[in-house]
Amino acid sequence: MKRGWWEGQTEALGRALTLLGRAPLVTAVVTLVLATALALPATMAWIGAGVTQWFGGQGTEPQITVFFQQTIDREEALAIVQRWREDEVVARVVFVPREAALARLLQTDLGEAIETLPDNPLPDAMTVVPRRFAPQDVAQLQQRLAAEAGIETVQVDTAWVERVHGLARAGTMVAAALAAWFALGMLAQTYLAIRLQLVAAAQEISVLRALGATDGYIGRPFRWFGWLQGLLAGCVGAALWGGLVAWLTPPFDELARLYGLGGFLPFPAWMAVLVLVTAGAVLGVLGAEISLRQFFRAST
Amino acid sequence: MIRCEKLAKIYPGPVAALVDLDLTIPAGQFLLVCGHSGAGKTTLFRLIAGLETPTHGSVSVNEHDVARLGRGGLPYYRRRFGLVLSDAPLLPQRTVAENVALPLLIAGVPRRQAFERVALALERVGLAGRAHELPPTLSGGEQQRAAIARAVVHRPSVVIADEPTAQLDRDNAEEVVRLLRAFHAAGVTMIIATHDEALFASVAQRRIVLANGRLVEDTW
Repeated sequence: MKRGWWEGQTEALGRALTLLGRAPLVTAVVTLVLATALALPATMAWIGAGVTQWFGGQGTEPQITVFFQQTIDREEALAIVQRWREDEVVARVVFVPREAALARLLQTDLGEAIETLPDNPLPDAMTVVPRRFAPQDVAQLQQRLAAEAGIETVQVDTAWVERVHGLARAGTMVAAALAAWFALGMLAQTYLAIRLQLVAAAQEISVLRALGATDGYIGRPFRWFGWLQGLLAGCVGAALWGGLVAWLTPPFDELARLYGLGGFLPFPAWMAVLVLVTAGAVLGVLGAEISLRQFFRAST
Repeated sequence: MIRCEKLAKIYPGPVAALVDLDLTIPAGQFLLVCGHSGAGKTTLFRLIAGLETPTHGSVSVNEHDVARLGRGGLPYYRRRFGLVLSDAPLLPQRTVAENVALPLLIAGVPRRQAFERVALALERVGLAGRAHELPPTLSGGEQQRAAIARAVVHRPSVVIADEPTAQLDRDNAEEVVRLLRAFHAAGVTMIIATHDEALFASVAQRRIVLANGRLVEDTW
């Protein structure tokens, strides 16, 4: 009678746990190195996502401010607003009556100066948010708005929009490059750890081969070893990540408060933690597989 | 039946460990392989067991050429053998029972069934009470008997033993011979290398002598 797949795997898992426990200090150091390789890019990605959220709420969505001529009356202005609301390239239009604009201005440091004026100097205005944020689309919409009768001025800081977009793109690329770099480092570290285990077990492997063990049988505990080491690193990495996030959240929140940007991202979602732990386990198995293939090829 | 034809193994140097050896071993035979150290006995055993590839010539078992088995087939071929070789020692960090169970676990026998058979094999070699001890705690004779238990536990068709009585006192050596004779009586082909021919005189059916990698004597 042949034993089942599960029994073979359980036995190999037991061997892998023995290998991990044989040198606890080495296991702890390797785990810490791998966990750092996982936690650092994850923390950077968290910071990047938080910063993007700040600007996402405040301005990566370009907003065009349109001031009506003082000569047109409210009904005409509202008719223009309504026409632009129906335009297909426009996401939304918010009408800002001159009274509301004045009331807002009175709340600022200019309030006292404004109060001395006999009349409200501000025109009616509207803010227009385009559907597409590409700088050329925003510029085109700006030109169309400026050509509209009854409109005095159109303001949009396209350069600022471009800068924010550029910064976001660069940030994303840096985070991705770092993640890839650290993933490679983790692969190399797991490869090395498994390689050392294989060298240490050379006599045992030679005996198993003589007794008829296949490469699959010989490699099974080492694959489990890589998986366990990666999983352990993933768990410790998630804990490190959580610690870093908890440590960094108060100063980021303070920064956000000072700039009126709203709160920073909350603690990473469980799904993100799960992804980090899974990434650790997968990279561990991959490192083990590369190491095993190279070892078997060399020992043929 | 094992057939070696023009079998040669030349190691880098070059050192000719085995030169154009022709040998046929019928199934069920008790073959004694004699010769001085470096005569080529261990190399012959390693080639027959598929642990080495010949430089030229061939080893075939029941007319199947071992060289044609390839990397995937070799492990299954090796399972036909029970080995008592110096380069397949007992693993010091595993218990005696775990060592003896290895050929069964490798062959995919369920764990419980494997350890039942291990208990029987250890009882047969007189080590039932030492199953859970580590090999370094056993005496030389006990280690050799444990190695024999590991060699026969999976009921191989051929047992290859390289100096199984070396460094044993007379009583332990005779005990090992008694065990090998018992397994041979059960139909197992025995290929034994020894310097102590007298010890095996009563059981050996054939004796070959190797010198400098060549077959110089073959007595039936």
